[in-house]
This record gives sequence, C-alpha cells and structure tokens, in this order.
Amino acid sequence: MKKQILLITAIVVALISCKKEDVDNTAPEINLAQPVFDQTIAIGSAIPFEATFTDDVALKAYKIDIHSAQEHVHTKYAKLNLNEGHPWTYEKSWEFETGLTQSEVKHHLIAVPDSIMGKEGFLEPVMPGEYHMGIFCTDISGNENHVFIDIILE
Amino acid sequence: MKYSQLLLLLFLLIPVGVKSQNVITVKGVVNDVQQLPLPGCHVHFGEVCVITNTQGQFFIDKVHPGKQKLTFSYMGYQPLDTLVEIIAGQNLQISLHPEVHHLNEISIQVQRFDTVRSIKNEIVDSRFVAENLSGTFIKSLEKISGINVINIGANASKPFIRGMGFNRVVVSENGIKQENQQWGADHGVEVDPFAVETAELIKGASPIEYGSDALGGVINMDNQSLPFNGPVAGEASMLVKSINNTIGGSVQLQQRKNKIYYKARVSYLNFGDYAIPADTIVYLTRKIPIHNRNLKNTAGNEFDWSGQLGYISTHFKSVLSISNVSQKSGFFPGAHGIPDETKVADDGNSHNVEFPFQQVRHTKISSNNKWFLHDLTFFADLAFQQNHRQEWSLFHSHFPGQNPLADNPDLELDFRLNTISGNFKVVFNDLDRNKITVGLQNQYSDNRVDGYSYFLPAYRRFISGLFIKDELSLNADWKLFGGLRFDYGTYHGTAYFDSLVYQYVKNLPDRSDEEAAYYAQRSQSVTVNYPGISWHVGSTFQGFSNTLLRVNLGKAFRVPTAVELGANGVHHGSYRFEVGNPGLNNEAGYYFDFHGEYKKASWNLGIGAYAYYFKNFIYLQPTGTLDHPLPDAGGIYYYRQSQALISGLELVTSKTFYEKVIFDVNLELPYNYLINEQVLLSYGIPFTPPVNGYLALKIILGDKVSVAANSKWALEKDQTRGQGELATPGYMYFGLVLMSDLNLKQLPLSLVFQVQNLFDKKYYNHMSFYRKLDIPEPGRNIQLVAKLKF
Repeated sequence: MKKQILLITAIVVALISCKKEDVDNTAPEINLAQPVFDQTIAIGSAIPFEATFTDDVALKAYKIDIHSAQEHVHTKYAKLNLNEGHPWTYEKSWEFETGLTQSEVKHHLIAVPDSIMGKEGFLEPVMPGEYHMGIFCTDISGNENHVFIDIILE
Repeated sequence: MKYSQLLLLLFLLIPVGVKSQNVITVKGVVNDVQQLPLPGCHVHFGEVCVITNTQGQFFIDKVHPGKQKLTFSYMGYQPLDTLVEIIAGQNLQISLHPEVHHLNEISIQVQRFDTVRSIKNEIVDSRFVAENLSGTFIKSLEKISGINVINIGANASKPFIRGMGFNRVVVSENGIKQENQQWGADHGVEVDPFAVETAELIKGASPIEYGSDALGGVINMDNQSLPFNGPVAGEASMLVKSINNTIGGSVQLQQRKNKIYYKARVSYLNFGDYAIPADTIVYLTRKIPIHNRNLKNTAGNEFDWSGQLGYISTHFKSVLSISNVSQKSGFFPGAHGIPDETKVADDGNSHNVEFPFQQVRHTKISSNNKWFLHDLTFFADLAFQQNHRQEWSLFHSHFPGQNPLADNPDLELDFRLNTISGNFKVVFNDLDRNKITVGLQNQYSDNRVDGYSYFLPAYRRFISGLFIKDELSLNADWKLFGGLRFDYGTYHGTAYFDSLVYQYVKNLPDRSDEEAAYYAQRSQSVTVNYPGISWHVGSTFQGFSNTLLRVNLGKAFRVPTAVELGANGVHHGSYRFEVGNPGLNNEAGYYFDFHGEYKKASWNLGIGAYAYYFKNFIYLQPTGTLDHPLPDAGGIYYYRQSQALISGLELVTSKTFYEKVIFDVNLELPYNYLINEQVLLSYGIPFTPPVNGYLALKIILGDKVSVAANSKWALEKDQTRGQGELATPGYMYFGLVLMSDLNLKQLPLSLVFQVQNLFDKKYYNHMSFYRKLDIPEPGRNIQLVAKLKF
C-alpha cells in the first residue's frame, strides 16, 4: 500500500511540475469603422476602409474578401440575374510591419470596377446588389479573428 | 536407531506431514445464471481437469488450502478464470454467464477481482445501457471517467477516450471495426442504440489486438449473446424524450432450438428539432435568433434492422449477422453558408427535415466463427461493411462557372466506403502457465466520393497485421503480459484537379496560371507504404489483499488519414485553408499506464495514471498566413508533426452505506501538450477535455425501485486549450433518475425515468463542433425508457 501511494505521488508530482510556458492563445481584435453594415457603395468608386487591429503579442496579416451574397445561393431554383452583370470578387491580404501590436489602417485601395471579364471573354458590367465582405486578421502565433458584414453595390 | 537420527527423521517428516495433513478435496457446483446446473463443464486446476457431473458438481482432490487458481469453461458461456480462497469443508458456488456477459457479471461467492487483464477495461451490461439510454449508445458512456462525448445535436455522438478521438480510438461491433471515423466531426457512430447488449470499454492503448488506431482505447459493442433453448422469446423497448420529442421503439425476437438459433430486431426513432437554452447564437460575427429556443431543422429519423443466424455445437460456434443502420438528420441552416435571418424563421413544423441535411447508412454482413479444439481455440471473423454518408444542401457555389449536376443537383457531398475484413486468431489455452494468442488481421477499403463540393479524395487502402501475445501466470498473484505486432499497409489516394477553382483563381487580378493550378490541385496522387511495429508489456499483481495493480508500457502507432496526407483547400464548415502533407510519417507514441484498484464489499477505489509520449503527433498548425485566393477562408493551416505529451489522472470511487445508499465519484484530469523545441511544453492539444467529473447518489428503495441524483461538471478550459480553440467556461448540471422493475402479467418490465440537465443550464462542450458556432448543448430533457421481456 505504501509503495502504491509513493508511486501515485511520484506521478502526480511529475505531472504538476511540468509547468508550461506562457503561450499566445489570444486572437487579435478587429475594430471596423468603415464600411458599416449594409453601406451602399457606388460601382466604379473605391470602398472606404478604416479599421483598427490590435493584438497582445504582435500582428501578422489581414485580409479582405468580398464576393456576391447572391452567388452563394444561386441555384436551379433561383438563378442569377446575369443580365444585370457579372458578380465581382475581391481578395487581397496585407502583412503588418513586424512587431506591431496595434495598427490603424485607413485606405481607399479597394476599387470596385465598372466592368469585369465575363464568362464568354467579353467585358461585362459589375452586378449590383448585396455583397459579403469578410475581414480576417491573424497574429504571429497563427491566432485568427474575423468580421463579416454586408455591403450593397449600386 | 539413534536418538539424533530419529530427530532428523522427524524433522524431515514434519514438512511432509504438514503438507499431507493439509491437502483437501475441493468441491462445488457450477450453475448458470438461473441456478440450473451445468453438467459437462470443464474445471481446470493446475494440470488437473475434471468435468462436472449431471448435477453440475465437481470434486478436485489434493488441493492445498489458500489462494488457488481455478478455471471453468463451458460451451456458449464466458470462461471463468479465478482465484479462490480454498478452505476445508466449503462448497463453492460458481455461476457462469452466457458468452457475451463479460467478466464482471460472472459472480462467484468469494471476494475477487472481476478481471485480470493488464489494461483497465470497464464492462457495460444491458442493464447499464437501459439505465443510460439516451438516443445514442455512445452518449450513455459519458459518465465514465476518461470517456468524453461530442454530441452533434441530440441524436449523434462521437467518443473520446483519454482525450483522443476520431482515428485515435477504435469503435467495433462484435469485433468488427466501424470504418467511418475519418469523415469529420459532424456525424456520430452508426449503431442501433437498442441493439447493444453489452460493451467493453478499454481505456488505454490496445494496439496488439485491435490494430493501429487503438491509441486512446477501444469501445467494443456486442450483441451476440446466446438465447436459451425454448420457445420464441424477445423484448420490446420504447424511448420517449422531451428535448426533441423523440419517439422510438424496438422489437426483438429470438429463439434457439438446441444447436440453431436466430435473432431479429427492428428499431425506429423519430425526433424533432431540439431545444437549447439560448435565444441567439453568434455565427460569422452575426447574431442569429433561435426562435422558441428550438434549433430549426435539427429533426430527423432513424430506421435500423438486424438479424442473426447462429449455430452452436460442442466444438464449433458460428454466427452470421446482417445489420443496417440508416439515419437522416437536418443541420441548423443558421450556421451553414451565409448568415441569413430568413433561413432561421420559424416554419411552424418542428418535425420536418429540409436542406441542409445528412443521410448516413451503415450496412454490415459478418460471420463470426469459433472452433474449440482440445487445447486451442480458433477464431475467424469475416465481414463486409459499407458506410455511406451524404450531405444534401440546396445547390450553391462560390465559383461563377459551376452549374448544378443533372442528377441529384443538391447532393453536396457523398462518401461511400466499402471495407472487407478478415481476422483470424488462435488461442493456445493449455500451455504450462502461458496463454498464447497468435492472430492475423487483414482489411481492404475503397472510398469513393461524389457531390458538387469536394472534401476528401477517393482512396484505396490495404492493411495487414500479424500479432502474437502471451499471458504468463508467474504465480497465483502475479501475471505478465507481452505482445508484439507488425503491420504493413498501403494507401493510394487519387488526385483531384478542381477546374472551377482553376478558372476562379485564374480570373482574379494578380494571380498567375501557376498559382491557379496549385490551388486547383485539391489532392495529389499519393501512394504510401507504411510498415509499423507495436509492442506491449504489462503486469497485474494481486498480492495485497483486496487490491489489484496493473502496469503497462508499450508503443503504438497510427497511420495518417486521407485528409492529413492529401488535403488542399478550404475545409468544409471550418473556414480554414487546410494543407495536407504526403510526407507525414506514422504517428508513433510510447505509453505508460498504471492502474490501482482497491475493492471491498462496501467500498471501492480506482486510480489510473497514464502518459503518452509521441515523437510525431499529427496536428493542424495555423501559420497566420492569409495570402491565398480562396473565398470564405481565413489563415492557412498545415498538417504538421510535433512531439507531444498526452497524460492524465482518473479517479473512480464508490461507497455503499447500509447496503442501500451508493455514492459514486468519477474524476478526470487530462494534461495534454504539444512539445515545442524552444519551450519544454507549449500549446495544448485541440480536443483535450477539461478537468471534469461525475457524481451520483443512488438510493435503493426496496427490491424493485431505486432513485438517483447525479451531477456532471467541468472546469474552465482556457490556458491549456489548443491553438485556434475558444476558451470554454466551466459548468455543472444535474440530473435525476427513477428506476423501477415491475411485472406486467408476469413478464418483467423495467422502467427508467430520467431528467437530464434538470435546471436547463446553458453550457458549452469544449470539444464539440458546435462550440465554435456558439451553439450551447441541449437543455432540460425528460425521458422514459421502458423495456418488456417476453
């Protein structure tokens, strides 16, 4: 019995003494000021983008991903109205400067074109309507956060 | 004769005399559970073998008093290998149970331990299953320390043993492994909840006999008990649940005429949308309302049937089984695709299943054979199984060029896995103090995929494993176990080029053709050969009174899965860009475990400690890189290998007061880490359960009725969580159980009435797929299980 207790104690001590180092489990935060939910943006203009990214250790990158909300659910039952144009997609990522824990990003880099290359190889107007905009942000440890909003192209 | 010589002779005679004076004749009776004598039962003592007479009696001469090992074996019954305290004049009462009733049900009126395997196992009997039935069999195991369950809605569950799940545990039925764990987290284990008669849960690595996936442990369900000779018998069961308005029932018939028997069962379950204690959830940073606190479109149904044809003679037992489990269940549309409030509007019907939903079917034909020869037993198990899973969702696509297919336009994913297996085993029983088992296991699988989305490659896999193990009894108290297994397998994954992704990426500004081709190659043609060796040494010691000590040491491994080897793309449902690695090695780990048990009539205590060290644990590592063109996905995640430590403590104790009040405590303290080169221990491993426990207080009110209150709790999971996982707050919820055994026109009727999550506590399961979607676990559930035997 004594041996048993000794052995158990040894195992418990061994487990508890393996004290782990501090790890970075905190995801960065995204504070999106612009565009706002359901903001209307004119086709042919640039989307105003303004956000603050913060992380407790260091930021790594952010990404903006825009695609038509309708193209997600286009089906044999609810076909896209392609007469109105071709759905526009956008994706781009940016890396932060090394070691930043906070970054205020403000730019007009996301230009919505008037027309894009369609399926048949001809330029087609960009389809207006509801679009889905996702902002992803990561920190150097790979922790990730995202914000999704809807915007309306007109 | 000289005086001194006489003295010497006396001294020489004394020990002999003591010995000869003390040898006695052991006698006893062997009965079955219904106290009917078993004539012709083999009773082994050392090299002596006697056979019981027509009254079931046996006599063994010249046995020394004290602890002695006796072995009882009888056709169709579980053999009993036991230590008995031999006292002069006693009449041993031995009762043997039909074959599937595992060791703990075999009672003998001598204080003894139930099992003498070196790896701790728990046996769950039909009574336990009835008391804990909850729509899925796996869910009923949740209270056992070291077992955790992921619930996918109210009617599907997946098991975790010692913090390991999916392909790191083996779930088998009648010894045939269920082959569907590689398909992700959102479907359960396909088994008819009414059909499980007994189950064996092995906590800890068991690679020798169960093959390479049995790292965490094994759950083996069994429903091949032998019916008694006589007219048609059977049982009818019923389940009613309030959480999702489940109505379920099952009818079983069985009959045996001497050597031939049959069994047949049909089960049906119908359930509605299930209730959660929350008004909103958060999906993709948007609040989604939960109307009437019912999770829309989580209804479904299940239809299962099975049949068995058995033959039993003195030297041969064979069972031919066929079974089919078929489930259809809906997914909550508020957590699928784009967040949209219109999708979750109340449709006024809580029992309909609309898009999106899944359909899962598991069909199996197996033949289990046993030959009992003079000093060896030969086993041959052959099986074919098909696992078929479909996800249906109204056609949608991210890629402008994609059009619905002409056939089944809304079939999003379709996996069809066919597996043939053949397992052979010989057990040599009558070797001097040794029990040697030699086995060969072969398995061939073919996986095909279909549907408008891509998730998993088509693949073929062949594995063959050869093992030998020995159980050596050093003396009555001390046993040694050893095993060695060699596996060889080949895996061939089919390449898949996604032309839609190619077109999509190619048309994006700033993306080259090369990049488009890279992203479009969703999986590469991969052929991998993986030899692997597993070994195990263990020991049990019963030298201290009322105590059983077990210790195990070994090496086990797991072969990488199709997804881990070949993924390249956005993971369905997790918003991650996952990249597989065809260069992954077998995940190999060394394990140590210790288990100590102390048992007395009114009190028992079990303490387990285990530690695994993996050289190359496979996990998904986030990189933080966002530079990829695929829609709806965040960072890129790579399948990598790292050193890892998986360890923990388990404590189980049960105390009975006044033979009427039973207090149970189960505790689990897992401690799992990836070992990083820079820091000794770094990130937690995803899907590690929190520190958790289960308490129950049961009061027996007379012969027929008992009541119990129970509580399940978990501590907060934050600092030790894996990368990419959310912190999960601690919780505690309570339950009540009322059990009653009645007679309905002289037929035994058992009723179990239960309230689960009594106070409708809102809590999250850290390991659940729904944790990320902020969907809490089901709320209060009131249920009744009735079982009538006829």
